[in-house]
Amino acid sequence: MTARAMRLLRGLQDRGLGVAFGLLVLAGFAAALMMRPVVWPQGLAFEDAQRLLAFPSLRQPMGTDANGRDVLARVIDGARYAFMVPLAALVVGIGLGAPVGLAAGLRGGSLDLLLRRLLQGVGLVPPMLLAMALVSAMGPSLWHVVVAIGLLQAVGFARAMRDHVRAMHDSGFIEGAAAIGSPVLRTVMMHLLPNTLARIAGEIPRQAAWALGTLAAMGFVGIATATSGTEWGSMIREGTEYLLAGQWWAALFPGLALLLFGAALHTLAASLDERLLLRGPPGSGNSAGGRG
Amino acid sequence: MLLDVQDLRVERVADGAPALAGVSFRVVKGRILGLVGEHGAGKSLTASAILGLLRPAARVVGGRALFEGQDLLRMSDADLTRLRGARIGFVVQSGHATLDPSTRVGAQLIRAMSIHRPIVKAEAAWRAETIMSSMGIPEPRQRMREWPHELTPSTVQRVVVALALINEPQLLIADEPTAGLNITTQMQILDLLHLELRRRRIGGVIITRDLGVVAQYCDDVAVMFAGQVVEQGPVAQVFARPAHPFTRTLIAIMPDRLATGGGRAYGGPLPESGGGCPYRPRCDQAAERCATAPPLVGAGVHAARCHFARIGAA
Amino acid sequence: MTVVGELRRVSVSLGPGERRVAALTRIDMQVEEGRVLGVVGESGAGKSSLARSFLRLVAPEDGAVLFEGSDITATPERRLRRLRSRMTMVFRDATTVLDPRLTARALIEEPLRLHTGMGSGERRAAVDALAERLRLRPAELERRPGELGIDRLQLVNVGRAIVTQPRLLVLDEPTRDLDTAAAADLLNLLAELRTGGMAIVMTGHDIAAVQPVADRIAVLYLGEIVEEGATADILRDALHPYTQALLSAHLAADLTRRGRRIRLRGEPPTPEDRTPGCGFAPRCPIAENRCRSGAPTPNQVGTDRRVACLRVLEGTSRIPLTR
Repeated sequence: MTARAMRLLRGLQDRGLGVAFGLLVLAGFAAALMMRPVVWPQGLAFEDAQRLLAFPSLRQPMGTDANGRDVLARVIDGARYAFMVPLAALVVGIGLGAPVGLAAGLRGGSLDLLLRRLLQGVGLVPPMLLAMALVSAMGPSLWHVVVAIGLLQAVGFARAMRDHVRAMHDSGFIEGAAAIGSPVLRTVMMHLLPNTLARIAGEIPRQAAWALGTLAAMGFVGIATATSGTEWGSMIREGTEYLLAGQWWAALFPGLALLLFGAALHTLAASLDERLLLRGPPGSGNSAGGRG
Repeated sequence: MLLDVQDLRVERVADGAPALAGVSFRVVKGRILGLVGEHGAGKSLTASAILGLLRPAARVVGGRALFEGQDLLRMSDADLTRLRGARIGFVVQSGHATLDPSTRVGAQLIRAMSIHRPIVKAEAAWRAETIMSSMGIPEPRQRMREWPHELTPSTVQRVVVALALINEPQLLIADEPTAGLNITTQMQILDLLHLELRRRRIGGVIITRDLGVVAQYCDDVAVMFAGQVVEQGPVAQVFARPAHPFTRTLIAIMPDRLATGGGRAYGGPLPESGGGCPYRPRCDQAAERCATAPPLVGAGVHAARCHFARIGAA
Repeated sequence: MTVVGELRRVSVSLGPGERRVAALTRIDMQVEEGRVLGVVGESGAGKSSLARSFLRLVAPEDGAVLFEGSDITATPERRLRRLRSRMTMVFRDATTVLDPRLTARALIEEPLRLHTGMGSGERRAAVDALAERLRLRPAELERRPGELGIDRLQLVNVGRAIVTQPRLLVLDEPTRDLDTAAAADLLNLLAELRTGGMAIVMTGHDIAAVQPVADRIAVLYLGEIVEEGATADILRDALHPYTQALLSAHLAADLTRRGRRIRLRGEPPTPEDRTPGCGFAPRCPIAENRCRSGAPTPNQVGTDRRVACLRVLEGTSRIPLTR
């Protein structure tokens, strides 16, 4: 990308258009997902035997697949997985990772050491492969996918949490709160957590995007066969069979949907990062202000 | 005269706001000038402007800085680079920032020499060791092999001074050279600077927030406030009969003179922008006429920028 | 005068496991209501540990910490918390202690929320009144830490520490990063608080930092008190060699003192470098052999002075000034 294009995009982003773009796209997918059963109840399962692998047309804007099913309807339906899986995985990831990271950051000592060793170990293996290996081991079910991805994300969230809490500890912030008589729980709930979440807010959509990509990869490779159906990764897998024959629509459109959804998430993440970088946490030296 | 700064003006690029509103002072060979003022008064900015080290956020828009017959403000980057570290030595605040953490101390000293003139490695090494020794660094040969992070803060600062002096400059500018150091260490470094400046018979500028440094180590003083020099002159005269209210305040609140419980506020209100005297919001003598820019009232070398200044009167 | 804060033979160690070092050794110190105690020391001396000890923010290995006459050395944090409206601290680093998401008003108000039952209207009024006293402008109260300069931030920290009208206020190098004018204002404020009966402990990196407002000064070196007495007495006639060196290093406005100094070699040591005998001996210009073998303890000299020097009782502890 040219430097000029980058500057243009940054300019747009600064005006909050990044967030707008991200939210709009996601809202669009959500709306389509909810409206399809109402507007087009039979679109999903109907197999039009007359029009197998039909080229995109007015009636079927994204064409049909090898079974004659309408690709557009299936792509819209696939958004279901794009929302559910990353969200569920985040719940697992944050639910497990945040408390562990918090405890490790606050206590230090052996818990912290254990966490750091764990992080080192996990960090050695490419996360996507690890997730796939876990799912293969556990069996091809959607829940297993969620758990596998969630566990890996838990490790990352634990680390982010731990690092931030440790920084606040070392900076004297926690001691300062103790000095005015604030009980530990209160300090954590009212000061630590809000500050940390503000810092890692950008990380959440990013992790969601990673979860989405990993899910799609699993679908594409064929590991989580239970999700085959309208999950975009599996749709791409099915569609690629016909690519060489020149029938590209069954594979391309799910791919584009994936791209768009991921881009929306990443833009959200970048915008959140930008907004929060201006007001850094204590000890980060990130504050804008003070006399020069 | 070694350095003659005349009406130096610097403004912020972003909005054209003046950062230095006409700074003038002189450094005489063999004498040390103390440039003193609060945080944000423009002391470091002045040094940066003179040495061509202004960050992109600010630019020089007026004035001259004459050194050895040339105007530093109009010199090319290349010429300035040749001067810095050679004819003009510069000691910065926070020596840790100056020293390259990835190069051994001895190598940095040698490099400081070799980039200005061709020099044989053996001679450079010998010079480096000699200067470190004269800086009071024990076991200089050992120190030369060490990395910056292995040195004590005092030694770091001595190395920084060595780097500034190693090419025998004619002028030394030291920007808060003892900020953050322990008081006994501070005294050692200032003694060292003072000794070297006297011994080499060169001129120096010490930038500081501490009037005590000026009182004990400088011959002349220039007091800065809000981007201007509000009073200047020989230290003895300025301390005996300070003409500007800000100077008077600074002297009155020095620890051995400060009488607490007076109820007076010394700090606080931001300097006034616009045409009037910038010290007006904090001045206990402010009057109607202070809405206009105060004139420079001077008698010989002692001058102050105040409507009410009377030089020489008690 | 009632003693508000007291340390009795307090020793504090810091550091993990085998790297534990003594930060403070057998400190006896007290501060009375309406008095300011200035604790002076360079880096490694133990000032921060001392400040924290008065508030029992660190647990001493040995000795006792008392507050308002009660022994709080072993009091559990739960109970100590309730005391923390009456004993407060201003930390060395003004910036990192404050929650960057809160406004100055909310930060100053927080102790009131924690310790009093005041309603929000009352709290608002209290903070407004205090801000006026501190000379914080109303607009500044609505700003966040990232938007305030360091001297204004320090005022917020002080406000947070005095809003509950504590009996004991401890400040750790409060004027270190401030301009002289802002520092003078802060010292004036402390003088006012003292007049109001507050007991204040203030640490500083040199005598000048505490001198304008301290009634008594204690000089710390390597975790031990080397001299302690009334400010005026010490300024006029410092007995311990280190105190004399500190005074000599102070840069006064008095031009006649130029050049006459006690010049110490080396740098202030850290607790890891401690040698046997007197901690100051390696740098002391008048050290003798006995100084390196026997450790002096603070002896009472005269009615109101303590000095830890083997030579002081013979009257030979004064160092001649050199040019």
